[in-house]
Amino acid sequence: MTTLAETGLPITRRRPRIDGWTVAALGIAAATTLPVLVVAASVLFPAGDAWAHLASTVLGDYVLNTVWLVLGVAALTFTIGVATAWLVTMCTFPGRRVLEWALILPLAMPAYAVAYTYAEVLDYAGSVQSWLRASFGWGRADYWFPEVRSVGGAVLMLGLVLYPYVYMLARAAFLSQSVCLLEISRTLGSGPWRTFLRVGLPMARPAIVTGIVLALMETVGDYGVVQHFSVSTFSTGIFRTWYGLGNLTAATQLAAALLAVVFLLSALERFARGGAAYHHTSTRYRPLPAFALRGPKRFAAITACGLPLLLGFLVPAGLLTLWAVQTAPRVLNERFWGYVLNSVVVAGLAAFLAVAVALVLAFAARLRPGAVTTWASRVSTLGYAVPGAVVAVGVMIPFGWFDNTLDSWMRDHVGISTGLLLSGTLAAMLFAYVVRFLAISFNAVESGMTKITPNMDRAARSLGAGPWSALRRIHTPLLRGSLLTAAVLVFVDTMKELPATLILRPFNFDTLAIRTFEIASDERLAEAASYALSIVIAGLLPVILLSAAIARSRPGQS
Amino acid sequence: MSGLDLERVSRSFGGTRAVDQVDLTVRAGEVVCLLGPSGCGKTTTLRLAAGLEAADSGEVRIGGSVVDGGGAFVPPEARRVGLVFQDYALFPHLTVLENVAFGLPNGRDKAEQAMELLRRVNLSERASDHPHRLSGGEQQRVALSRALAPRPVLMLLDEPFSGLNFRLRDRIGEESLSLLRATGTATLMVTHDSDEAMRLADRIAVMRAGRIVQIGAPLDLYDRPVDLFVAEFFSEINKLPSVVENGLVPTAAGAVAAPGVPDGSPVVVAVRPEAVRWSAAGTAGSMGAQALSVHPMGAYVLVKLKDTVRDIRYLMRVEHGSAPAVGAQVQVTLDPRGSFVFPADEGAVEGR
Repeated sequence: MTTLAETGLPITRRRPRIDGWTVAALGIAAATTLPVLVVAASVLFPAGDAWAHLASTVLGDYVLNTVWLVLGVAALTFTIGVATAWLVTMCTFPGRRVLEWALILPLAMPAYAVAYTYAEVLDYAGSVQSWLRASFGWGRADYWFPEVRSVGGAVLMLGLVLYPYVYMLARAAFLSQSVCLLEISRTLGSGPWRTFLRVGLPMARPAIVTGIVLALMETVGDYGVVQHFSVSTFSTGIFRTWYGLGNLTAATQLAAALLAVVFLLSALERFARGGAAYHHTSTRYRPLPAFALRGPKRFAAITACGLPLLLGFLVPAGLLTLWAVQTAPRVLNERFWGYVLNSVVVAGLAAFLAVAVALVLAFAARLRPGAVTTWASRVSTLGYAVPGAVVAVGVMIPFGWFDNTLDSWMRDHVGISTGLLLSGTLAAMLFAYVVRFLAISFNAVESGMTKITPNMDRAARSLGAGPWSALRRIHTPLLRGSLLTAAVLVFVDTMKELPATLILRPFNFDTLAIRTFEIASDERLAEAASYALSIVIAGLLPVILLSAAIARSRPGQS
Repeated sequence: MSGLDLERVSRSFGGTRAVDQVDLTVRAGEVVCLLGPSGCGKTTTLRLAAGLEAADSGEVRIGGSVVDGGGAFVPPEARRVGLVFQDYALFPHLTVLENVAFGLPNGRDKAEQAMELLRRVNLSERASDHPHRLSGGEQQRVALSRALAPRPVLMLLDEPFSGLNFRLRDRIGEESLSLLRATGTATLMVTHDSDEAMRLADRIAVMRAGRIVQIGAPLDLYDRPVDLFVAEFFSEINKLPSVVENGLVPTAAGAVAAPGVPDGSPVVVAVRPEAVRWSAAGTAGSMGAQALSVHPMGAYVLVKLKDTVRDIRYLMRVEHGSAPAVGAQVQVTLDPRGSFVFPADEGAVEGR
């Protein structure tokens, strides 16, 4: 009898507990949580008089406005998202097929672009009020017109572009519901409307809550809309305190407060979901019933679904196109294309990095399953909940500290000045994007990964493929679609991102988002249109991808 | 009193007649099984009764009143029907008690009524659990209790026991149906499992291509099938083609009477495996066969036989301990009780 060693077969030692994959996952986790930790730690340092000054003057406004924004956007996105999702999923009426995917279009609109557009049109000097005055001969005091630059206006703008989060998740939930459950409810004495309230809606609750919370994360992190509408929130406060008052510590503490709001929202989501998503108790899927609506109901359904699309996408996109065409000769010059290039390069790099890092995390979790890698990937993806301004502040501080420390050490010991190596560079900006958008790429990669069952790994291994070979020959080709999706999503979010870019961009480095913001701030909206429209066009890519994914998501239907 | 009456009910999808001129009555306290291959229209019939589909023509009555037909359509929530699906479709966001109470009118004793029903199926201790924590059998009992709670006139069961493992299926099936009989509920149950239908139903309606082919007591259908399709639904069938001569059908295993069938008609003799009999080969002759293989099935044995002269095979079912040895030469005869003569053109429907 020969021992294993005598057979001449390669023998691998039991792998060590800590190896390259684990270290990589931990390193990513540490790097991506750094900005959040820095911001959170800032509350430990005294901010001097500035904080007392803030508290006695504007802090109340920040809190109040944030509360109104959160409540308003929650109510608006819930109403629009759930109503449209239910109508297009359960009923048939003319235009439903188009609305199914078109209702996601507002997602392509940066909220600030919509805000600029409506402010331009609905302001006192805007075309709507001017037309009213001219038509009826009214003067300034003769009529009342809602003020678009207000908290209510901001709620409306944000709600109009953020409802697709709720729509998408609610629709996916409705699609996955077994019709059997709805039919059982009918036979137990509940009519269609009561069935929706008692069965359809509660079963979709976890998905709806998640959608609303996603919308609210964007809301509290928004800078462009509230800045333009002069609604003071934590986001505008961070900028004002930093650039206006020059107090970085107080600005960081405002960021910490905003961070607290975000964590509150996440906790709320956990609580409202009530534990896990509901288990499917029914696995049979027949085609959805599709109540054919007639007469006034049909008209009401078309209006209910058409209005959000019209106001959230068609009107602003139409106006932007109009203005872009009008100003094209002045705007579309070499500098414009330079900004396009900047945006595309930065967004492309961010997408590449975010996907690469996500792949490392996902592979680490796959090859070294266990508490360490699970925890590392969970922590690394926290950044998505964190508003751009907060991430930017959290990146700025440690990078600046590193630069200053290195610079003074070098001057003292070597006699040369290194200047700013990290802060104010593309690297800092890209790092912030990866922190913020890693969750998006990781989720996309991971959802692709779950389709590759562990048995496929085992089959590959038993056929002689080592772990690396399996990754290359099995996982990578199967993941190609997911990687592309992940890259596109990050690309577009980076193009839209405003506050972090404003804070972290290198000197004189402008992107489309920055130019849109700056020109719109100068109230030269028509000229900003080309910039905004470029972002919208890029934003249409993932919307198309998402629409296709949703249509495919119903179980039992390929 | 009748629970359900279907009168000449039809329903088409696209160009296909899923349900074609169906007449069916289920009396209070009676269990009728709709039996047929998938796509035969049995589930659509059930859904028509529930009000989940509307009939194109014909009339549906529940408890004597018209719920569908003549321009009237009563929606499912107003029909007083109970419905149990194969996968039970329990509401995942509600507890067991809330599931059962779902169809009860709001009132003080709503929870108490639901609890009483759970007690009847020995599940009162699981009242506050969520459905996914229950076993398959428990879920089935909750689904039945939920459907029974509003005291329906008519209970509709769509393959209600096929999600259970086969030992549980027998017991739960009998318990469920005795509960329904005791409450005087008319029950219409859809199944594709002929054994289940045979065991549980008072009457069986066999469906094919949207029509009811035969309806009657289980043993009626077994002993007097109207055609080859019905005969084949309840067991394996030996099919012996032949031609009628003098009111008799000669086969390799002896002649079978065919009263009323004109001489010269091509026919198929359908023989149930237990109607194939054997004896030791005494005299060599045309009726000899050889045992090719023997398959013990527990209480009985299946034997595959081959005619020694012609290329005819038989499937024979005998009691445990009375099978021939493999390779043995035997003599084969047919028991007329399990042998049926059908026109040969029905061979067209064999391929189920």
